[in-house]
Amino acid sequence: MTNKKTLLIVEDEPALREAIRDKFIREGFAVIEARDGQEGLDESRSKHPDIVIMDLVMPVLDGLSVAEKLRQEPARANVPIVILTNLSENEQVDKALSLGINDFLVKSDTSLEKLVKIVKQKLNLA
Amino acid sequence: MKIRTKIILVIAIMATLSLVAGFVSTNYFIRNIFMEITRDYNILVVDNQMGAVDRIIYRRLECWKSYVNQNNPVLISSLVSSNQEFGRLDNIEDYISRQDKSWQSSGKDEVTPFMSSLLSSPLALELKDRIDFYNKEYGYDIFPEAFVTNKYGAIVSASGKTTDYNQADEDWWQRSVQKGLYVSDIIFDESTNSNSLIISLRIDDGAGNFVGVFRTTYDSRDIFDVVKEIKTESKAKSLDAYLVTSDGRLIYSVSDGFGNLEIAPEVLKSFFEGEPHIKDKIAVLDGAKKFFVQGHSQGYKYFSGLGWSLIVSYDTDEVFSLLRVLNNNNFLTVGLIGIFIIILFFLISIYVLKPLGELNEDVLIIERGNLNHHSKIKSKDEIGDLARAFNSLVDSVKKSRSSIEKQVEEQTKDIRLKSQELRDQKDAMLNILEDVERQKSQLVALAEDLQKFRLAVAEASDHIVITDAEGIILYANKAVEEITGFSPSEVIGKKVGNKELWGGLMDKEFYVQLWKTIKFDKKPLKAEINNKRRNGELYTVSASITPIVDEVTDEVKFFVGIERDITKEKAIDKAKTEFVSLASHQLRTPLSTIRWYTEMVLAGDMGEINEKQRKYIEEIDNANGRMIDLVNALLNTSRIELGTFMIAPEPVDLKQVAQQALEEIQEKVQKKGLIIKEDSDPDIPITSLDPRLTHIILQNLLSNAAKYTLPGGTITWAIKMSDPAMAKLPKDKKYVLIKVSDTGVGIPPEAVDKIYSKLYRADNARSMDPDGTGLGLYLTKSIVDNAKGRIWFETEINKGTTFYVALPLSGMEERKGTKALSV
Repeated sequence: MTNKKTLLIVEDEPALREAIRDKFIREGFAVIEARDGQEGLDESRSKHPDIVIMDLVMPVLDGLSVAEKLRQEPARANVPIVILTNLSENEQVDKALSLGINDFLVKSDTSLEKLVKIVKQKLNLA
Repeated sequence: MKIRTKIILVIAIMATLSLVAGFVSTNYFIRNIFMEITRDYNILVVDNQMGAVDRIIYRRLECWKSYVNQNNPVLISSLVSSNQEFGRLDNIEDYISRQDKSWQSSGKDEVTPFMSSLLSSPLALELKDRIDFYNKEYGYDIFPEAFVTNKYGAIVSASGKTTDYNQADEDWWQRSVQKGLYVSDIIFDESTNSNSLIISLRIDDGAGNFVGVFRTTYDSRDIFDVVKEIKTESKAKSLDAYLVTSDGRLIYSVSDGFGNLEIAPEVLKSFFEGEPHIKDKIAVLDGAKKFFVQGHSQGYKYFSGLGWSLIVSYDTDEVFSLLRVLNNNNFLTVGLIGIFIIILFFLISIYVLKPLGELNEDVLIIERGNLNHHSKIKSKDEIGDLARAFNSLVDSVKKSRSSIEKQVEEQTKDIRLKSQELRDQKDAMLNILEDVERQKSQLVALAEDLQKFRLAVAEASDHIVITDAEGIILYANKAVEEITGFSPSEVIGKKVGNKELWGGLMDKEFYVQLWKTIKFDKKPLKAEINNKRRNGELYTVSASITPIVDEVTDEVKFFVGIERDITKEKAIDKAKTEFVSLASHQLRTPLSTIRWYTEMVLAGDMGEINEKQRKYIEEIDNANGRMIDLVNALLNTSRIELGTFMIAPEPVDLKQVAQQALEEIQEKVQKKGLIIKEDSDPDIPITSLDPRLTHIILQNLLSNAAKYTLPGGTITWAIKMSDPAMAKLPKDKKYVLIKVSDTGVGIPPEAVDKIYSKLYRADNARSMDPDGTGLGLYLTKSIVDNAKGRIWFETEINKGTTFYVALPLSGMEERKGTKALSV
């Protein structure tokens, strides 16, 4: 592939992060990993990913705060974000929607296959 | 004299007296007002005319002030060169006095060559031109002469021959040098038979240095016109006006014209005695009583005035003539009214008092016992009527006297009868008293019951208050103190919900709504209310407030409020919610890990796997999937039980939701070879529903149908607006119906009542699908109940089951919860 898309995974749970990483590498993506919100913010600023998959409950900085900061930076405001979390709290869904994030997925209810499909749709690859 | 006569006489005298007093005081009052008006009006007129005189003099002054102040080149250069010339002389005073002597020694009309040079210089010609201009304009020699001296007082140029050459020793010259401007008081000039003023002005060059003095004479006859105006403007025939100098000389009077400034009459002079000057007075002048008004000169702009006064006089006869007419009329009126009162008095005494006296005598005769006497008055007036009425009264008294004796006898009989009746009534009363005694003992028993009831209320663990219709607390039980910290005696008499006692922590809107519901809608209300205890601790109560409505008037008489402290229960609920959140997080992470890794292995990402390996891993994946479902179901159950799940309605197409749910069971349907049929009505309106909740309902109904139908069976689903089964629904609302039928195993009779119970599973269901959670229908019913809908079913063992869910067409009501249910 001449034009590899870069995916940033922000997820504190190593097993889950690695599963997603391996799946997307296999799907032909360049994958960057971040272990907490702050790392996620730094990586997206320095490496300009095409899309971000992000957990909500994380150490240092939570996912919605990261999303909020990214939305305020012109260079990154339009990078699609997919939220992948364990909880679907109403306030969080509302906040994500207000930040223009429509993809709010519960981890255990989402297969990797579905995740790949959504990411590809977001990047117009499907 | 009779008293009545006296009274009338007194009234007549009083009326006459008050009439006279009224006349005198009115007269006095009107006279004062009239005087006041006359005085004020005249003062105004006189002040104004005096001001006009000042303004005229000012304007004459202005003619020349502008001339000497405008740096006139001829004027200034003549004076400067004359001053320089004089400056070069060895002895200026000597020169001037020599010239002055020769000037005075010349004949009256003789003009020496020296004089001639001063009378024909360019400046002299200019002065003449100016004088001619003004004289022509005013039609008389208003300024007969004008001349200019240099700064040493010697004449430089003049319009005509002057008496002296040296003016420096003149009073006007010195004053104008000092003050810049001098206007003399009026002077009578015998030779010209005119009154005039001297106007002199100091002349300064452009740099402000004193260079000379200007002087002119002003024939002031023009100001007399102004004084004359008073006479022409007024209608008063006796009016005269006098212009008087400050030292009491008469300048001009309207009647005599101007004279040689003779001393003014004493009356006019008296106006200048004392400060401030008298404004008006009444005095005798030339043998006539006159009314005088004085206006004193105030000056105008830089002209400070000459201290003159303008005095106007009228004959008092003329001024007060109007008042006299008024007086005469009053006298006439008083006289007429007086005569009228006297005539009235005579008439009254003839027609009223005399017959009244006669009638009085008649009464005295009858009083002495002569009932056969009659009044002889026959007149046709009220007194005649009175006499006739009196006569008939005497007749009826005579008649009644004889009948009274008969009546007394009859009434004695009646009284005897009545006393027997009273005795009977007394016996009846005694009987009633016995009854009352019996009822009293019943009341005591009732009171004992009430006492028990009171004790129960007083000792109840719920906080109970009774208030009047305005919310003022009438009763509070002991629990009030346990819950709020305030004793019953502290809250009684206060308004319920009082900020100091309850904290007022809820929105204002809440209290308004609460009051509206219980007071105006007269409906009981249940609510959770956050309050504050005496010690500042916050607490939550479940409150129930019931209005007690008077059956007759339909008005609220009391409110009964029962509050239960649910603070601890709320805390437990919160802990439970937090536990569920934590557990779900902790459970979902490992479940996701298993799900994703098995998924990758099965997808061949780790390389080829053999059949046996695939089978084993699929088993892991299935079991994991069931665990995920279970966690979701438990999570939803706990949210439903906590009442914290949200309802967020949006426009929903029910058929579309059903299609999505069908897709989810597609795998099972294909595996079991089930037939799916749709039987929906064609036009189903878009309804305002929560899509997640609606999806959970359809998902459960359809997946149950798929689970409990044997391979090859049929599932029929429908969204309907009307159906025979809907007949049992309440008629006050419109519903949309979800109907799911299967040809499955049916629900056994013993399970029918328990089918919606949490974790309950019927035996046949357990055997067909060992992994079910027993939560699906429980969840479904909970959601339907929350959405104010209905759920029911029809079933037959081994034939099939039909589930019906009716949702209100008006949609679900929005509810802000904190948790969305997982689908």
